[in-house]
Amino acid sequence: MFSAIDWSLVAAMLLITALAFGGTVAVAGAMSLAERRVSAWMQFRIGPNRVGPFGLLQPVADLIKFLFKEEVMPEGAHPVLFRLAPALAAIPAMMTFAVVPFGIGNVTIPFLGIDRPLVVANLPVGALYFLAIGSLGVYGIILGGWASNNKFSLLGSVRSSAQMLSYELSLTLAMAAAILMSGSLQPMEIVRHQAEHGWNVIYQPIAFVVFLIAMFAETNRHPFDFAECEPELVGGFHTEYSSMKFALFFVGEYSAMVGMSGMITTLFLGGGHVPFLAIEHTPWWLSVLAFAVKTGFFLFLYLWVRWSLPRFRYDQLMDLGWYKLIPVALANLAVTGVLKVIL
Amino acid sequence: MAIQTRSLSWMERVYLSLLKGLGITFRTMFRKHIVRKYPEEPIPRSPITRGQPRLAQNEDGTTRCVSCGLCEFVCPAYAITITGGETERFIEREPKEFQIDMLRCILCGFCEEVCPKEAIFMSDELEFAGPTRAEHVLDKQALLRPISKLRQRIEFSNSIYNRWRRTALPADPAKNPAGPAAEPPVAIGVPHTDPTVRNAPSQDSNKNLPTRREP
Repeated sequence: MFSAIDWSLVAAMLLITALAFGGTVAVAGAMSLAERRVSAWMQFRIGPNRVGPFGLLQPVADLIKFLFKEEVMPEGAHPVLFRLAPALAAIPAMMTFAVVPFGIGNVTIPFLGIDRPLVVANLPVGALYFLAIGSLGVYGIILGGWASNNKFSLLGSVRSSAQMLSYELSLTLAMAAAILMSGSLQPMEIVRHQAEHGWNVIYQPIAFVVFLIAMFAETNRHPFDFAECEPELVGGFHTEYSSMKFALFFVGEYSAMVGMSGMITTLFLGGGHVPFLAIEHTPWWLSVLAFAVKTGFFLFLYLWVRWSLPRFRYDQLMDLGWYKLIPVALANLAVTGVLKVIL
Repeated sequence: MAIQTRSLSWMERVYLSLLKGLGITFRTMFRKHIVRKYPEEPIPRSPITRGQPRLAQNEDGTTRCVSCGLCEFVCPAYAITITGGETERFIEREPKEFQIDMLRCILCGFCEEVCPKEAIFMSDELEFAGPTRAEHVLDKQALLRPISKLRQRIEFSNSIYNRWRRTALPADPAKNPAGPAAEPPVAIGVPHTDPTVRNAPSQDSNKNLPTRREP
């Protein structure tokens, strides 16, 4: 079984992994600039435009600044968990993108002659993997808040854990509806099914909206950013973090946004499927482009919503999650299941 | 007192009215920004701007300062250091060295107010940054500005300070029996115009910046 290792296959997989991982981190860096530019435009401002053309090198400058900043560890902080928490927040967020197909069909990698699907890991249980790894991200936030020995940090992480638990349910139920439609947990299969039978957003608009709302809560973004909540909790869970540790939390948040946007595209907007174009006739680069455009829209939506809407009150957040989203998602799932059996 | 509340509409209860807010921000994205790109676009300054003090320089390149030391004396931050010297010119004295430590200066404008020779003025120069302390101790050469550059401030300063000068026209006492002019004649503050109008522009001959001719 392990007689011979196909080195070209290993190289091909490493290449795709590097592309996907590098792409995620690069987009996360670009998002930190986009966040500031878009917010500036929405407030009659210009935003950072000094470093490089149009301020495009601002993330690089920020990174260099973060690297040279002093690391401060508060007195009484847990020495191991305090250092571990940023990594725990960032790594699962980067790992979620592994099962998101960033195109449809296969690509033949030049010089190696290997035919690979446009996804890092074409897992048969990709959707479950996404949920499992995605919910690991809350550990980084909880541990970060707890280990910093600061009441504001702890409050932020306690809120965040309750919020993520509540919204994980609606997220999963909404995802289940999309999975029911295609009858497969494999993201590649879900995309193919949508390409053949129409996008899920048409057949599952309610699940789409529920997923959309839950995904904002899952990534701790406005209007559900109770983990940070600057006016109330100083900085929330990352109050005590400085230098590169803080940057890791940042990268983790943006990577989670990239992963979530990729997943909602895969589940509801047909992944890399170009409308009115059969899979067989779609060149791989066009499908990657289509995926990038759809994901980019959701990434923009994150910023758009953040700079438009005020933060919810905490009881409103719980009310929305438990009394509205979960019943709606459950009913939607039940109806979908019944219709699926009848039709 | 009961707080008046409005019951939410159907749109608001299902959060659909959030879309209205999203629409506003999206439209704003394509509107013109209202930012001044500061270093490239200078800040518009009016004569009332009290920037860093500068020495006035006559058209022929000489200083107006006679190193009387009033500004050095009045300076609350001890920022001014004058080393006096003699000159062959009509004014007989001029500063050999005139230093202002801009790190001490608080831009209060007392030096301008006290100067009897109209030699020091608060310019409109505001930019003030540098890596060393030494470069902020300005000497005479660094402080000298031709009066043409300071003209706006000079006129403004004349208009607000001339009422304290003896050279100003005496006011008509019959006009304002209760005003400062009705005080004993030793009063130095004799308004040259209607005292009810403070900071009125001066109609004084000083406006033309008298530069004394050397014999």
